[in-house]
Amino acid sequence: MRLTFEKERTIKRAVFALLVLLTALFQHTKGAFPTIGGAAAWLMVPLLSAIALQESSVAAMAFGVFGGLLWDVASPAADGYFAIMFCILTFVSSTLASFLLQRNLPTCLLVTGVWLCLFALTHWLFFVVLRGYDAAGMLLLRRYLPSMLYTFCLTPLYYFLVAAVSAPAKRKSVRRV
Amino acid sequence: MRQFLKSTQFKIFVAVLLALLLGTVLAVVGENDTSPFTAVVGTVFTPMQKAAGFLSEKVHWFAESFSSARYYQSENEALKERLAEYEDRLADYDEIKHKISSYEDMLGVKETNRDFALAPANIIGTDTADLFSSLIIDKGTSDDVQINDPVVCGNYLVGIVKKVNPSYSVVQTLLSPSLNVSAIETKTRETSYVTTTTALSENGSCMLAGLERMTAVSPGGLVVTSGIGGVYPKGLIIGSVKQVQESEYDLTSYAVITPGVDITALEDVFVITDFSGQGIEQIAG
Repeated sequence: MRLTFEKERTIKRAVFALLVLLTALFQHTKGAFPTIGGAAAWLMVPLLSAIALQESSVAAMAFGVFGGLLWDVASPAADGYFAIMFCILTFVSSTLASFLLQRNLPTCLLVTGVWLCLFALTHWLFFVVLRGYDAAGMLLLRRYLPSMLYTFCLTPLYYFLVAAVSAPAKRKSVRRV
Repeated sequence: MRQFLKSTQFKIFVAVLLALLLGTVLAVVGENDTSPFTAVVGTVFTPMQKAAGFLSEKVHWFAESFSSARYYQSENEALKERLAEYEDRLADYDEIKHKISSYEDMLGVKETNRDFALAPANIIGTDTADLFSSLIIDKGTSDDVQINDPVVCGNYLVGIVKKVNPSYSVVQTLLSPSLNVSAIETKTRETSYVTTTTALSENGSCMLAGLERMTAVSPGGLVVTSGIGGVYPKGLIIGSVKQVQESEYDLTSYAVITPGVDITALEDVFVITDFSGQGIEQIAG
């Protein structure tokens, strides 16, 4: 059975939505995803960065907002922080990918690296430094940095997963052009 | 660039961003600390997370049942060692039992609990980005849970409800430096407040801060909620004093407290949805 480009795209987006949901479940369920030396993986970051590189800016933003809201559900931090953060990151990354960036693994690693730095630093700034907690520098080094590195190592996994889901629709899109 | 700023995509982006910001503002001014967007997403997502938690537990059990015979042999040896250790500890059991009994009598916990309205809750998740062991529980406003309701495990204080939705809540635990609990040390009757620092939180400890420099509080003392402020009922056990130290910043001392329960290992808790004196500020003294 041959599917049209629109149907392939719909299926792709449905799978992306499912991936976002499953990733949120893995990330927030106690014991579902291993921690290394106390460092937890922020799985949503590499997934959304990989999706942002494959999708149009509005669709990428929609996935970013969805993933961010799912994270907000689990967080004691200010409600809306993750949704706003991922809304901006996905829209900007996807727009850059349309004009400037190539859609390949090195780009995905670069984008995820930048995202992780921005994400960790803003979270640390808003929820540690501005709240006046002691030993903020120690927390950045001992808690945020290991999680950033752990998450970064998982980027290729998500890149290939998202690329595999995108491939059929991409082929159809090339044929149409 | 100007063309991009005038594009439909950019307009949609700005509209979504403004909507999210509005949601955040509504969350800040609202009663439940939750935006309407998160409430909707959370209501759908929470049952899935509950199911995922259940599956995760079962998968762990299933994986463990496939351990090798060698593993069981080493486990057997380890258990024998532990048995010997427990036999030693048994000698102290009667003394500890007596202590617990006296603590119970002293605190009058059973008497106090009569006015509690309790909602049992399962812990269904955590926030990986939160550094201070916050918990997600499967009870919300539909179970009479409200923001600032105390969360306990037995007679031990775990934390407070920070954010609440119809079907779930987020709990800020004793390991968060944002939490302040008015408390009393039972032996000396010294009243102060329990909080923590990031360094203590890393070790799973909190502290009874603001004690006098020459405080009589000593290791082994029991710290309980004082009931002042009307947020926590009187007599919930926070933990025991591990050591007393002088503050580096002022002329006070603080007692390092080991919480009565291992907050990171909890599986279920109780939310105190109502108690006598809730919301009524009491005067210390």
